This record gives sequence, structure tokens and C-alpha cells, in this order.
Amino acid sequence: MTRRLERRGPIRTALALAALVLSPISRADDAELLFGMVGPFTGPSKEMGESVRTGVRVAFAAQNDAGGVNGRRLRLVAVDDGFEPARTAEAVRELIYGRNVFGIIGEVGTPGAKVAVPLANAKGVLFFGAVSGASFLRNNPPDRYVFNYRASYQEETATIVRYLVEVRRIPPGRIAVFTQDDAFGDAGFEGVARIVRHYRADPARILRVRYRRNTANVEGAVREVARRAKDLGAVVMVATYKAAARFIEGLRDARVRGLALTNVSDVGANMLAEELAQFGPGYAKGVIVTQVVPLPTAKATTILEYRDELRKYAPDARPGFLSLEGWISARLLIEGLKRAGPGAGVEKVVDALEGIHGLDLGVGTPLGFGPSEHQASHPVWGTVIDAKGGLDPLDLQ
Amino acid sequence: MAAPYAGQQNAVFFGPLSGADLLRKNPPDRHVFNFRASLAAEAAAAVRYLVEVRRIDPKRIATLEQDDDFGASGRRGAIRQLGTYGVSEASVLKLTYPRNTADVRQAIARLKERAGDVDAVVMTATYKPAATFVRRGKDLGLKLFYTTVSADSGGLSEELVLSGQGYTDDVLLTQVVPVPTSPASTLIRYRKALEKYSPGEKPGSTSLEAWIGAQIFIEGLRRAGRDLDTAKLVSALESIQNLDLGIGGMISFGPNEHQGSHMVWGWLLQPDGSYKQVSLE
Repeated sequence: MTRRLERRGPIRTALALAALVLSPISRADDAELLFGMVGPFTGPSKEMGESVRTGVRVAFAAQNDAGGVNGRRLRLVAVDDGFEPARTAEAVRELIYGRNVFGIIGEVGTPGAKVAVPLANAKGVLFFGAVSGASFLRNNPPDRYVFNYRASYQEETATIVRYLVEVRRIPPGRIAVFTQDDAFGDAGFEGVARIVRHYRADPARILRVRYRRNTANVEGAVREVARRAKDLGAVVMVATYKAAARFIEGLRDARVRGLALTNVSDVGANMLAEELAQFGPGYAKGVIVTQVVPLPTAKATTILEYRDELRKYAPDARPGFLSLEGWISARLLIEGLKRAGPGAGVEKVVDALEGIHGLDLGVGTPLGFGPSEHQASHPVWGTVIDAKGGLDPLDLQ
Repeated sequence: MAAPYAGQQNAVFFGPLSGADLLRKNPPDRHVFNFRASLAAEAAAAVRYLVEVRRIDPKRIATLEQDDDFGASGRRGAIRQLGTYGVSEASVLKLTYPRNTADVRQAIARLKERAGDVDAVVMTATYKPAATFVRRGKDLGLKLFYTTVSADSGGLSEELVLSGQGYTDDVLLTQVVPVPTSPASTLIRYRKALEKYSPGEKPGSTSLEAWIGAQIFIEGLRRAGRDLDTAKLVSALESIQNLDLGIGGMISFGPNEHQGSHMVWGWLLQPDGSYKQVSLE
């Protein structure tokens, strides 16, 4: 269940601050490490927030059962922002000033991240493993308190466009982009534009169609793509699952055939597949999703462990890409916390994280950070949805 | 001048604030070590940005440079990059101005004659002549994109903001260090050191460049150990490989490589005089 916070009132805040002033080192601080999470737990994207939270919770619970980290228990408090960046700032302030969290983990939503990062940087709390590949989370050199587990949108879109051009033989000029009309969509589009430029095609000529965040109003986008369908070979989608599913449904209903349809990982592949399968046979088959984690159904040691823990600590949850992403991020964070030693504060943990090199968590690639590198993983995996809404691996090389 | 003298005296010449070619021979002078990317690399990165990101026709890029070795180093980098797009050196309009002046009248006059052939100018200039050239170009109503090498960023923006609305448009500054106000670990450390040892001094790209150079030099001294002499220091510096100082790229030296960093950043001038870091690729 979401531990939604009550509306923050002046009295509550004053009490919280008074408590902080009176006992700067409370017993709870010694005994536990509190992390916050912000994301959609209401509204049309709530399953995304819930999946990521499940993954983080499960990894924390397993670690706590193994004795915690250097004697401290891990706790997660999740706050709903309804996928509206206008609400993210308040949620983040509540967490870092009201709850005095050690860091924020698994934030869901690129526009929200844009709001949250300056707040985290200003207070000096960790902003770890956001579910976003946006380049503003990957500055060069990287922001001290911002750490990413996953590959960037640039890496995801470069991989998929390369696949469309080299394997599927679709000319780069025949690739359209369907995006959410915000920082998430812009970040994805920027990635496509960059790789298209690499192929010496003009990004200004890419057909870009949009929908509004937190809606599934895709009619205009469908109409535009259907109208231009004969000039197109593929649509790269930078959308969340509800809108993506409607868009695909609309194209299929308009009898637009022969277009390769691809999604970035943030779509929530499992939700998208389920949604499409519900529309009936023929909607789901062949839709591609790039992933920043291995298949949650893989037989690899670490993924078996993930599913064991999921069964044990979240018996109602099914394995999924977003929950696996949250779980791996939490594992990586735990490694940094362990290395920082007993009683470590944020600064020590940042230094410890920057000292992780070539860590093999069994997720298909060694993970590492450094003062110049705050993104641990770079690979992108391909998956394709089958007629019944299952997800199969797809070789993108 | 100073580098040969240091060599004669068997002294190390470390981290000059210069990207000139004469400090970057191949193989490198034993006594000369550089931290920063070369002027040629900066100008080449600017050309790449104009062509790849701004989609400007490489045949329509001109250069403006100071009439000395500083200017020549930048021009060489621009020409080398333009060569990869099939543009010959002879066809690249070359504008110059006299060293230690902001006298760009002749350059502007020549630009005016050839205005129909030019969409962008890659400048290897100090801030004052660079700002003057941009201002006069805009006064002529020419719609051009301007890039300039790591000049004094504050001076350049001040000059152009003062000139009025629109003068800051389409101006890119290349830099060999990250943004001094970045929230990266190392930049936080730099600002703390500045606050402590030079209170009142504002963070800036020049002091940052010198600070990073000093960090590398200290690493060399540390590796050289006790009983320091020049030979030991040179060997110690040449042993630095993939040193991560947290500036976004690794620092490496070697017997064949006396330039630690090859990184070039792009700063796009904003109407309020600030800069926005942009990707050059």
C-alpha cells in the first residue's frame, strides 16, 4: 500500500522541524536508513509507480532480513505526485525536509526528475536510480548526488534506430516519433534526432506527433501518422503504456500496416502487453520494446534470486521489467551503503558509490561508478510482444 | 618563449593556459606538459557542431583569427575538420585581426563582400575582438552563427548583453573545462577550496583550468616521491593513466602524450548573459 502523506500543514512542519532541532540525532536515525520515493501512485500511470516501488521494497525487505546494512534497517516511504511535475516539488520537499530522508530512490517520471534534482542537489541528498534516461540526469561531469543505474534514452533510441535502419532496412528519413508532450517526450526525441543526424538525415524533417501527459488522447497523432503512412516505415514511441496502447490500437483500427512500432523501456512493457492483448488478437503482435534490464523471466542466477524474493516479500506481484529495475537499483544502492561503513552519512556514501568499479551483480554487465561516471549500466535489451501479450527477447544487433 | 627556456634549464613546464600547437609537438617535448585540449581541437569541435548539430553547409563556414600562432592553431583545427567534409583549405574564407587589438574593421569589410557565401564564422580570438566582430556582424544584419574558442566567458557575455537585444543569439563558446558552477563532486571541491583560500573570488573557467592543472601536477609530485628531481617528475607524470579527477573525462599522459585531456565542452550564450551547456555532437 502507498504510505501517502497527509497534506502538509504549517503546524505539522513546525513540529517536524522542532523535533529535528531538539534531537538532531534521534534513535530512529541510528537504527534505520530512510529513503523516499516519488512517482505516480494514482492516475493512469499508477502501475508504473507501483511496480518500481515493489522492486525497491522487496530488495530492502530481503536486506533487512539479512541483518540490514551495517546494523541499520532500510525503510522506504513513497509519496504520490500523480505523475504531475507541479506536485513533485512539494512531494520532494516533504521527503527531504519533512521526513529528512537519506535519499530518493526510483523516482518515476522525467518531468518530475527535472523538478526534483535541483532540490536534492541543494540539500545534499542522494537522487538514486530514477526511472528515466534523460540527459539532464547525466551531466558531464555528473551531479554529485545524482546516480543512475540504467542506460540513457540516447542509448535506447540509438539502439532501436540502428536496428530499424540496419536490420529492418528502414531509411532513417522514414522514421516518425510519437511522444508525450513534455520533458520525457523531448528527451526521447532528442535521442532519435541525434542518431538520425548520425545517418546524415535531417532531424528537422522527422514527423513528430504528440499526446498530453496523463491522457490517452491520441486521436490527432493517429490521424497524422495514418495520413502519412505511405512515407513511413516505423514509429519510435516515447510514451507511457496507456497512451502507447491506444496509439497502436488506433493505427491497427485505421488499417495502417507494415509500420514497425517500437517503445522505450519507460512505457512499462508488461502493462503495455496486457493492455494490447485485451483489445483482441492482432493488436499486440510484433510491438517492440527496448529494455534497460534483462528479461524478468530469465534463468540467470540473479534473476532467479529476484523472483524468489518477489515471491517471498510481494507474493501478489508478478515479475516485471519496472519492478526488476527498482530491485536492481536498490541492490546497487545497498552495495554503496555497505561499502560506506557503519554510521556513514550521505557524503561518505557518495564517495563509496564513486568507488564501485566492475561490480558483477549478475545482470549481464559489470556495474560501476566513478567521479566522472554516475551511470552504472549501458546495455539495451530488445523485446517483442507476441499475440497473447507475452514478451520475447529480440536480437537488436 | 618560456617553454624552450624551461627545457634549457631542465625544468618542467606544466599546464600553461594555452592550447597552441607549439606546445604540442609530436613526439612531445620532454619538459612540456599540458592539461587542456588544444585550440585546434576546440575549433574542430566547433566546426563539427556547426555541421552536425546546426546543419550548416561546411562550404559556408569562414574563420576569424588573431594574426599569430594562437590564431593559426585554431585555423588549423578548423581546416582539418572541414577537410573531413571535403572542403579545401584554399576555399575557406580567412579573416584576421591584429594581435592585442580589437580592430576587426578589415575583417568585417571582407565579410561584407562575401556575405552571400557565409553562414557561420569560427573565431580563434580573445574576447574583445570576438565580441566586437559579433556585434558588427549583427549590425550589418548578417544572420550568422558564431563560435569562439575558450576566451574569457564573462567578458564576452558582458560585451554582447550590453550591445542590446539579439546580440547574444547564435553565439557558442567552446571550453576546455566543465561549467565552474556544476554540482559535480569535483566542482564542489573546487568551489570550497576557492572559498577557503581565496574568499571573494568568483568561480570561473580560468581559475578552474589552473586548479585542475594543479591537481594533476600534485598527483605527479605525489607519484614522484621523495628526493624529487626533474627526471623523476617527468617519469611520474608520464605514468598517469586514466586518472579520474571527476571532470567528466580521464586524464592520461605517456611518453608520446603530454596532453592530459582532450575534452571540449560547448556553452551556448543566453539572452541574460549566462551560458547553457550543450552537447557538441
